[in-house]
Amino acid sequence: MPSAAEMSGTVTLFETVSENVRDTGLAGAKLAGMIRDDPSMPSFVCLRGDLGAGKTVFARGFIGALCPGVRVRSPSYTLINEYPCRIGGRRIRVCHMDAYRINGYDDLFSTGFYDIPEGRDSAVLCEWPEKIYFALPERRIEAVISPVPADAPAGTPEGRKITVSVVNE
Amino acid sequence: MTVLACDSCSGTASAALCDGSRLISEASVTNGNTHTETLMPLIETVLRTGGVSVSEIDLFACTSGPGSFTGVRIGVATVKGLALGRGVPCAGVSSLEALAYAAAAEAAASAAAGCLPPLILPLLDARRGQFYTALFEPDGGLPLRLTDDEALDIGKISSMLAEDGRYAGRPVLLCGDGAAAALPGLPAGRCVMPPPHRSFISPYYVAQAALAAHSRGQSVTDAALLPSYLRIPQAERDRLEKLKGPGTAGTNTEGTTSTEANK
Repeated sequence: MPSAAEMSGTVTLFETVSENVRDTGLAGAKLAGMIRDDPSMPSFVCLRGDLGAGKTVFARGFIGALCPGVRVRSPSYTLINEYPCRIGGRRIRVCHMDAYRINGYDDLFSTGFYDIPEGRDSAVLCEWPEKIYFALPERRIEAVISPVPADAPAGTPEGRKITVSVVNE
Repeated sequence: MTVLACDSCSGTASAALCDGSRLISEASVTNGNTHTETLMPLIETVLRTGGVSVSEIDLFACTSGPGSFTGVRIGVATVKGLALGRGVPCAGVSSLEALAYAAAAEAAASAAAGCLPPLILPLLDARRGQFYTALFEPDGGLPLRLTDDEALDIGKISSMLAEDGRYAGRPVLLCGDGAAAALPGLPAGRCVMPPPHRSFISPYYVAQAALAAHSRGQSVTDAALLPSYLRIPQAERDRLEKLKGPGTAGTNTEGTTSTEANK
Protein backbone atom coordinates (compact mmCIF):
# COMPACT_ATOMS: atom_id res chain seq x y z
CA MET A 1 0.00 0.00 0.00
CA PRO A 2 1.68 3.24 -1.11
CA SER A 3 1.91 6.10 1.38
CA ALA A 4 0.08 9.35 0.69
CA ALA A 5 3.34 10.79 -0.60
CA GLU A 6 3.71 8.00 -3.17
CA MET A 7 0.20 8.02 -4.65
CA SER A 8 -0.40 9.69 -8.00
CA GLY A 9 -2.59 12.76 -8.41
CA THR A 10 -3.21 15.09 -5.50
CA VAL A 11 -3.46 13.74 -1.97
CA THR A 12 -4.34 16.07 0.89
CA LEU A 13 -1.97 15.74 3.84
CA PHE A 14 -3.87 18.03 6.18
CA GLU A 15 -6.24 20.95 6.30
CA THR A 16 -6.51 23.41 9.12
CA VAL A 17 -8.01 26.77 9.94
CA SER A 18 -5.55 29.25 11.36
CA GLU A 19 -7.00 31.85 13.67
CA ASN A 20 -3.75 33.65 14.35
CA VAL A 21 -0.04 33.92 13.57
CA ARG A 22 0.81 31.11 16.00
CA ASP A 23 -1.53 28.66 14.25
CA THR A 24 -0.02 29.47 10.86
CA GLY A 25 3.51 28.94 12.17
CA LEU A 26 2.47 25.64 13.75
CA ALA A 27 1.08 24.47 10.40
CA GLY A 28 4.47 25.20 8.83
CA ALA A 29 6.22 23.31 11.61
CA LYS A 30 3.83 20.37 11.21
CA LEU A 31 4.65 20.07 7.51
CA ALA A 32 8.39 20.31 8.24
CA GLY A 33 8.06 17.45 10.72
CA MET A 34 6.26 15.29 8.14
CA ILE A 35 9.00 15.89 5.58
CA ARG A 36 11.72 15.25 8.17
CA ASP A 37 10.18 11.98 9.36
CA ASP A 38 8.92 10.43 6.11
CA PRO A 39 11.64 9.73 3.50
CA SER A 40 9.00 9.17 0.79
CA MET A 41 7.73 12.74 1.14
CA PRO A 42 8.76 15.28 -1.53
CA SER A 43 10.92 18.03 -0.06
CA PHE A 44 9.97 20.80 -2.51
CA VAL A 45 7.11 22.90 -1.13
CA CYS A 46 5.15 25.42 -3.18
CA LEU A 47 3.67 28.00 -0.84
CA ARG A 48 0.72 29.82 -2.34
CA GLY A 49 -1.35 32.69 -1.00
CA ASP A 50 -2.03 36.36 -1.56
CA LEU A 51 0.07 39.15 -0.11
CA GLY A 52 -0.48 39.20 3.65
CA ALA A 53 -1.91 35.67 3.70
CA GLY A 54 0.76 34.50 6.12
CA LYS A 55 3.26 32.80 3.80
CA THR A 56 6.27 34.21 5.64
CA VAL A 57 4.83 33.19 9.01
CA PHE A 58 4.26 29.67 7.66
CA ALA A 59 7.84 29.69 6.34
CA ARG A 60 9.20 30.74 9.75
CA GLY A 61 7.41 27.84 11.39
CA PHE A 62 8.65 25.43 8.71
CA ILE A 63 12.29 26.56 8.80
CA GLY A 64 12.34 26.93 12.57
CA ALA A 65 11.25 23.30 12.94
CA LEU A 66 14.09 22.05 10.74
CA CYS A 67 16.77 24.54 11.82
CA PRO A 68 16.01 25.47 15.44
CA GLY A 69 17.26 28.84 16.56
CA VAL A 70 17.90 30.37 13.15
CA ARG A 71 16.62 33.82 12.37
CA VAL A 72 14.45 33.60 9.29
CA ARG A 73 14.68 36.63 7.02
CA SER A 74 12.53 37.56 4.06
CA PRO A 75 13.87 36.36 0.71
CA SER A 76 12.02 39.11 -1.19
CA TYR A 77 15.26 40.84 -2.21
CA THR A 78 17.81 38.06 -1.85
CA LEU A 79 15.50 35.69 -3.82
CA ILE A 80 16.88 32.58 -2.06
CA ASN A 81 17.92 32.34 1.58
CA GLU A 82 19.75 29.22 2.61
CA TYR A 83 19.82 27.67 6.08
CA PRO A 84 22.28 24.81 6.50
CA CYS A 85 21.27 22.38 9.21
CA ARG A 86 21.64 18.78 10.35
CA ILE A 87 18.79 16.32 10.53
CA GLY A 88 19.56 12.97 12.13
CA GLY A 89 23.25 13.45 11.45
CA ARG A 90 22.61 14.36 7.80
CA ARG A 91 23.66 17.76 6.54
CA ILE A 92 20.86 19.36 4.54
CA ARG A 93 20.12 22.78 3.09
CA VAL A 94 16.80 24.43 3.77
CA CYS A 95 16.16 26.99 1.03
CA HIS A 96 13.52 29.70 1.34
CA MET A 97 12.79 31.24 -2.00
CA ASP A 98 10.67 34.12 -3.26
CA ALA A 99 10.14 33.71 -7.00
CA TYR A 100 8.02 36.84 -7.40
CA ARG A 101 10.73 38.80 -9.23
CA ILE A 102 11.98 35.93 -11.36
CA ASN A 103 11.12 36.21 -15.02
CA GLY A 104 11.94 33.14 -17.06
CA TYR A 105 14.63 30.52 -17.17
CA ASP A 106 17.65 32.83 -17.47
CA ASP A 107 16.60 34.71 -14.36
CA LEU A 108 16.05 31.49 -12.47
CA PHE A 109 19.37 30.02 -13.61
CA SER A 110 21.21 33.12 -12.39
CA THR A 111 19.79 32.74 -8.88
CA GLY A 112 21.68 29.46 -8.45
CA PHE A 113 18.36 27.60 -8.22
CA TYR A 114 19.78 24.67 -10.14
CA ASP A 115 22.65 24.35 -7.65
CA ILE A 116 20.25 23.40 -4.87
CA PRO A 117 20.73 19.67 -4.24
CA GLU A 118 17.79 17.51 -5.26
CA GLY A 119 16.03 15.00 -3.07
CA ARG A 120 16.69 14.44 0.61
CA ASP A 121 19.76 16.70 0.73
CA SER A 122 17.60 19.80 0.65
CA ALA A 123 14.19 21.16 1.51
CA VAL A 124 12.88 24.01 -0.60
CA LEU A 125 10.06 26.33 0.36
CA CYS A 126 9.08 28.45 -2.63
CA GLU A 127 6.78 31.47 -2.45
CA TRP A 128 5.13 32.61 -5.70
CA PRO A 129 5.88 29.27 -7.40
CA GLU A 130 3.65 30.23 -10.33
CA LYS A 131 6.52 32.43 -11.56
CA ILE A 132 8.71 29.36 -12.07
CA TYR A 133 6.03 26.89 -13.12
CA PHE A 134 8.39 25.52 -15.78
CA ALA A 135 10.90 24.41 -13.15
CA LEU A 136 8.66 22.87 -10.52
CA PRO A 137 9.30 19.20 -9.76
CA GLU A 138 6.55 16.80 -10.77
CA ARG A 139 6.44 15.46 -7.20
CA ARG A 140 6.04 18.28 -4.75
CA ILE A 141 4.00 19.59 -1.86
CA GLU A 142 1.47 22.36 -2.34
CA ALA A 143 0.62 24.48 0.69
CA VAL A 144 -2.19 26.94 0.00
CA ILE A 145 -3.23 29.67 2.44
CA SER A 146 -6.56 31.28 1.65
CA PRO A 147 -9.26 33.21 3.49
CA VAL A 148 -11.92 31.04 5.10
CA PRO A 149 -14.81 31.17 2.62
CA ALA A 150 -17.87 33.18 3.54
CA ASP A 151 -20.10 30.10 3.05
CA ALA A 152 -18.13 27.98 5.53
CA PRO A 153 -20.29 25.97 7.97
CA ALA A 154 -21.58 27.84 10.99
CA GLY A 155 -19.10 27.82 13.83
CA THR A 156 -16.04 27.86 11.56
CA PRO A 157 -13.65 30.42 13.05
CA GLU A 158 -12.56 33.42 11.02
CA GLY A 159 -9.03 33.29 9.75
CA ARG A 160 -7.06 31.45 7.11
CA LYS A 161 -7.67 28.05 5.63
CA ILE A 162 -4.41 26.15 5.13
CA THR A 163 -4.46 23.15 2.82
CA VAL A 164 -1.35 21.03 2.40
CA SER A 165 -1.25 18.38 -0.34
CA VAL A 166 1.19 16.13 -2.13
CA VAL A 167 1.06 16.50 -5.90
CA ASN A 168 2.32 13.72 -8.20
CA GLU A 169 1.94 14.92 -11.79
CA MET B 1 56.46 28.13 -14.85
CA THR B 2 54.56 28.14 -11.53
CA VAL B 3 50.83 27.61 -11.92
CA LEU B 4 48.13 27.99 -9.31
CA ALA B 5 44.98 26.16 -10.42
CA CYS B 6 41.61 25.69 -8.79
CA ASP B 7 38.26 24.09 -9.47
CA SER B 8 34.84 24.67 -7.94
CA CYS B 9 32.52 23.70 -10.80
CA SER B 10 30.96 20.70 -9.07
CA GLY B 11 30.57 19.31 -5.56
CA THR B 12 34.30 19.22 -4.85
CA ALA B 13 36.49 22.28 -4.42
CA SER B 14 40.19 21.85 -5.08
CA ALA B 15 43.44 23.67 -5.71
CA ALA B 16 46.88 22.68 -6.94
CA LEU B 17 50.26 24.29 -7.25
CA CYS B 18 52.49 23.09 -10.08
CA ASP B 19 55.89 23.87 -11.48
CA GLY B 20 55.23 22.94 -15.10
CA SER B 21 54.23 19.29 -15.09
CA ARG B 22 55.56 18.75 -11.55
CA LEU B 23 52.90 18.81 -8.84
CA ILE B 24 54.09 20.79 -5.81
CA SER B 25 50.99 20.61 -3.62
CA GLU B 26 47.32 19.78 -3.99
CA ALA B 27 44.25 19.91 -1.76
CA SER B 28 40.57 19.16 -2.19
CA VAL B 29 37.46 19.02 -0.07
CA THR B 30 33.97 17.56 -0.57
CA ASN B 31 32.07 18.34 2.59
CA GLY B 32 28.85 19.96 1.42
CA ASN B 33 29.96 23.43 2.46
CA THR B 34 29.70 26.13 -0.14
CA HIS B 35 32.83 26.79 -2.14
CA THR B 36 32.89 30.38 -0.91
CA GLU B 37 33.93 28.90 2.44
CA THR B 38 36.32 26.23 1.18
CA LEU B 39 38.15 27.47 -1.91
CA MET B 40 40.29 30.26 -0.44
CA PRO B 41 41.49 28.14 2.51
CA LEU B 42 42.45 25.41 0.01
CA ILE B 43 44.42 27.90 -2.07
CA GLU B 44 46.10 29.22 1.06
CA THR B 45 46.95 25.64 2.03
CA VAL B 46 48.58 24.69 -1.27
CA LEU B 47 50.58 27.92 -1.33
CA ARG B 48 51.74 27.56 2.26
CA THR B 49 52.59 23.87 2.06
CA GLY B 50 54.20 24.43 -1.33
CA GLY B 51 56.31 27.27 0.05
CA VAL B 52 55.23 29.64 -2.71
CA SER B 53 53.71 33.09 -2.36
CA VAL B 54 51.02 34.54 -4.63
CA SER B 55 53.55 37.01 -6.03
CA GLU B 56 55.59 34.08 -7.40
CA ILE B 57 52.74 32.67 -9.51
CA ASP B 58 53.31 32.89 -13.27
CA LEU B 59 49.90 31.64 -14.40
CA PHE B 60 46.55 31.54 -12.63
CA ALA B 61 44.08 28.90 -13.77
CA CYS B 62 40.57 27.78 -12.97
CA THR B 63 37.79 25.76 -14.47
CA SER B 64 35.53 28.29 -16.14
CA GLY B 65 32.56 25.96 -16.64
CA PRO B 66 30.37 24.28 -17.48
CA GLY B 67 29.10 23.28 -14.06
CA SER B 68 27.27 24.66 -11.07
CA PHE B 69 26.30 28.31 -11.66
CA THR B 70 27.56 29.54 -8.32
CA GLY B 71 30.57 27.23 -8.39
CA VAL B 72 31.72 28.56 -11.75
CA ARG B 73 31.34 32.14 -10.53
CA ILE B 74 33.27 31.44 -7.34
CA GLY B 75 36.23 29.89 -9.19
CA VAL B 76 36.44 32.57 -11.85
CA ALA B 77 35.96 35.43 -9.37
CA THR B 78 38.63 33.98 -7.07
CA VAL B 79 41.24 33.78 -9.82
CA LYS B 80 40.31 37.22 -11.13
CA GLY B 81 40.76 38.60 -7.62
CA LEU B 82 44.14 36.92 -7.12
CA ALA B 83 45.42 38.08 -10.51
CA LEU B 84 43.98 41.58 -10.33
CA GLY B 85 46.66 44.19 -10.85
CA ARG B 86 49.52 41.71 -11.01
CA GLY B 87 49.72 41.56 -14.80
CA VAL B 88 49.92 37.76 -14.56
CA PRO B 89 48.10 35.76 -17.27
CA CYS B 90 45.02 33.70 -16.47
CA ALA B 91 43.58 30.65 -18.19
CA GLY B 92 40.02 29.39 -17.95
CA VAL B 93 39.83 25.67 -18.60
CA SER B 94 36.74 23.69 -19.57
CA SER B 95 35.77 21.50 -16.62
CA LEU B 96 35.05 18.69 -19.11
CA GLU B 97 38.48 19.05 -20.70
CA ALA B 98 40.12 18.89 -17.27
CA LEU B 99 38.30 15.60 -16.63
CA ALA B 100 39.36 14.33 -20.06
CA TYR B 101 43.01 15.19 -19.31
CA ALA B 102 43.05 12.77 -16.40
CA ALA B 103 41.27 10.04 -18.37
CA ALA B 104 43.57 10.45 -21.38
CA ALA B 105 46.65 10.10 -19.20
CA GLU B 106 45.30 6.84 -17.76
CA ALA B 107 44.15 5.57 -21.16
CA ALA B 108 47.66 6.07 -22.54
CA ALA B 109 49.08 4.04 -19.67
CA SER B 110 46.71 1.14 -20.25
CA ALA B 111 46.48 1.22 -24.07
CA ALA B 112 46.70 -2.23 -25.65
CA ALA B 113 47.99 -2.73 -29.17
CA GLY B 114 45.38 -3.71 -31.73
CA CYS B 115 42.40 -2.51 -29.69
CA LEU B 116 40.04 0.19 -30.87
CA PRO B 117 41.07 3.47 -29.19
CA PRO B 118 38.58 4.39 -26.49
CA LEU B 119 36.43 7.48 -26.41
CA ILE B 120 36.48 9.71 -23.33
CA LEU B 121 33.10 10.96 -22.18
CA PRO B 122 33.15 13.40 -19.24
CA LEU B 123 29.72 13.90 -17.68
CA LEU B 124 28.63 16.54 -15.19
CA ASP B 125 25.05 16.78 -13.95
CA ALA B 126 23.35 19.79 -15.60
CA ARG B 127 19.98 19.05 -13.89
CA ARG B 128 16.64 19.02 -15.72
CA GLY B 129 17.61 15.56 -17.01
CA GLN B 130 20.66 16.85 -18.85
CA PHE B 131 24.40 16.41 -18.62
CA TYR B 132 27.25 18.73 -19.52
CA THR B 133 29.38 16.65 -21.82
CA ALA B 134 31.84 16.56 -24.71
CA LEU B 135 33.64 13.77 -26.50
CA PHE B 136 37.41 13.32 -26.52
CA GLU B 137 39.85 10.61 -27.50
CA PRO B 138 43.33 10.02 -26.10
CA ASP B 139 46.13 11.20 -28.31
CA GLY B 140 49.57 10.49 -26.92
CA GLY B 141 48.41 10.88 -23.33
CA LEU B 142 46.49 14.08 -24.02
CA PRO B 143 42.80 14.51 -24.81
CA LEU B 144 41.93 15.30 -28.41
CA ARG B 145 38.61 17.13 -28.52
CA LEU B 146 36.00 15.60 -30.86
CA THR B 147 32.92 17.66 -29.92
CA ASP B 148 32.19 20.97 -28.24
CA ASP B 149 30.99 21.25 -24.64
CA GLU B 150 27.20 20.91 -24.63
CA ALA B 151 24.26 20.31 -22.31
CA LEU B 152 22.51 17.21 -23.68
CA ASP B 153 19.92 14.75 -22.48
CA ILE B 154 21.02 11.17 -22.07
CA GLY B 155 19.08 10.04 -25.15
CA LYS B 156 21.08 12.34 -27.41
CA ILE B 157 24.38 11.28 -25.88
CA SER B 158 23.46 7.64 -26.31
CA SER B 159 22.38 8.15 -29.94
CA MET B 160 25.62 9.94 -30.72
CA LEU B 161 27.65 7.02 -29.37
CA ALA B 162 25.52 4.35 -31.03
CA GLU B 163 24.73 5.87 -34.41
CA ASP B 164 27.67 8.04 -35.40
CA GLY B 165 29.96 5.84 -37.48
CA ARG B 166 33.07 7.51 -36.08
CA TYR B 167 32.21 6.40 -32.56
CA ALA B 168 30.22 3.17 -33.00
CA GLY B 169 31.72 0.11 -31.34
CA ARG B 170 34.49 1.95 -29.50
CA PRO B 171 34.81 1.53 -25.75
CA VAL B 172 33.84 4.62 -23.77
CA LEU B 173 35.70 5.77 -20.68
CA LEU B 174 33.30 7.72 -18.49
CA CYS B 175 34.48 10.35 -16.05
CA GLY B 176 32.92 13.06 -13.94
CA ASP B 177 30.37 13.02 -11.14
CA GLY B 178 27.47 12.55 -13.57
CA ALA B 179 28.77 9.18 -14.82
CA ALA B 180 26.84 6.99 -12.39
CA ALA B 181 23.52 8.70 -13.15
CA ALA B 182 24.13 8.56 -16.91
CA LEU B 183 25.35 4.95 -17.15
CA PRO B 184 21.93 3.21 -17.31
CA GLY B 185 21.01 5.31 -20.37
CA LEU B 186 24.23 4.71 -22.30
CA PRO B 187 24.96 1.86 -24.77
CA ALA B 188 25.29 -1.30 -22.72
CA GLY B 189 28.59 -3.12 -22.54
CA ARG B 190 30.74 -0.34 -23.97
CA CYS B 191 30.96 2.15 -21.14
CA VAL B 192 33.53 1.86 -18.39
CA MET B 193 32.70 3.51 -15.08
CA PRO B 194 35.48 5.66 -13.67
CA PRO B 195 37.34 4.75 -10.51
CA PRO B 196 36.33 7.11 -7.69
CA HIS B 197 39.31 9.41 -8.18
CA ARG B 198 38.31 10.05 -11.80
CA SER B 199 34.81 11.18 -10.79
CA PHE B 200 36.25 14.47 -9.61
CA ILE B 201 38.06 17.20 -11.46
CA SER B 202 41.76 17.10 -10.67
CA PRO B 203 43.24 20.57 -10.14
CA TYR B 204 46.58 19.16 -11.32
CA TYR B 205 45.04 18.58 -14.74
CA VAL B 206 43.39 21.99 -14.64
CA ALA B 207 46.93 23.33 -14.31
CA GLN B 208 48.19 21.12 -17.16
CA ALA B 209 45.35 22.16 -19.47
CA ALA B 210 46.01 25.79 -18.54
CA LEU B 211 49.71 25.44 -19.35
CA ALA B 212 48.80 23.96 -22.74
CA ALA B 213 46.39 26.84 -23.39
CA HIS B 214 49.04 29.35 -22.34
CA SER B 215 51.60 27.81 -24.69
CA ARG B 216 49.05 28.13 -27.53
CA GLY B 217 48.68 31.81 -26.70
CA GLN B 218 45.21 31.29 -25.23
CA SER B 219 45.79 32.72 -21.75
CA VAL B 220 44.09 36.04 -21.04
CA THR B 221 44.21 38.98 -18.66
CA ASP B 222 42.24 38.81 -15.43
CA ALA B 223 39.68 41.20 -16.91
CA ALA B 224 39.15 38.96 -19.94
CA LEU B 225 38.70 35.76 -17.92
CA LEU B 226 35.01 34.87 -18.24
CA PRO B 227 32.77 32.08 -17.01
CA SER B 228 31.19 29.68 -19.48
CA TYR B 229 27.73 28.73 -18.22
CA LEU B 230 26.78 26.73 -21.29
CA ARG B 231 23.10 27.27 -20.76
CA ILE B 232 20.55 25.01 -22.29
CA PRO B 233 19.82 26.34 -25.80
CA GLN B 234 16.83 28.66 -26.12
CA ALA B 235 15.10 26.26 -28.53
CA GLU B 236 15.33 23.47 -25.96
CA ARG B 237 14.02 25.78 -23.25
CA ASP B 238 11.08 26.77 -25.47
CA ARG B 239 10.33 23.10 -26.10
CA LEU B 240 10.40 22.34 -22.37
CA GLU B 241 8.07 25.23 -21.66
CA LYS B 242 5.72 24.11 -24.42
CA LEU B 243 5.61 20.64 -22.92
CA LYS B 244 4.47 22.22 -19.66
CA GLY B 245 1.56 23.91 -21.49
CA PRO B 246 0.89 27.52 -22.41
CA GLY B 247 -0.64 28.30 -19.03
CA THR B 248 -3.50 30.49 -18.05
CA ALA B 249 -3.11 34.15 -17.40
CA GLY B 250 -3.97 35.23 -13.89
CA THR B 251 -3.74 38.44 -11.97
CA ASN B 252 -2.09 38.54 -8.60
CA THR B 253 -2.90 40.93 -5.86
CA GLU B 254 -0.37 43.52 -6.96
CA GLY B 255 -2.25 43.92 -10.20
CA THR B 256 0.49 42.59 -12.48
CA THR B 257 -0.15 39.66 -14.78
CA SER B 258 1.42 36.33 -14.07
CA THR B 259 1.23 33.06 -15.94
CA GLU B 260 0.42 29.82 -14.26
CA ALA B 261 0.58 26.50 -16.01
CA ASN B 262 -2.48 24.38 -16.46
CA LYS B 263 -1.86 21.58 -14.01
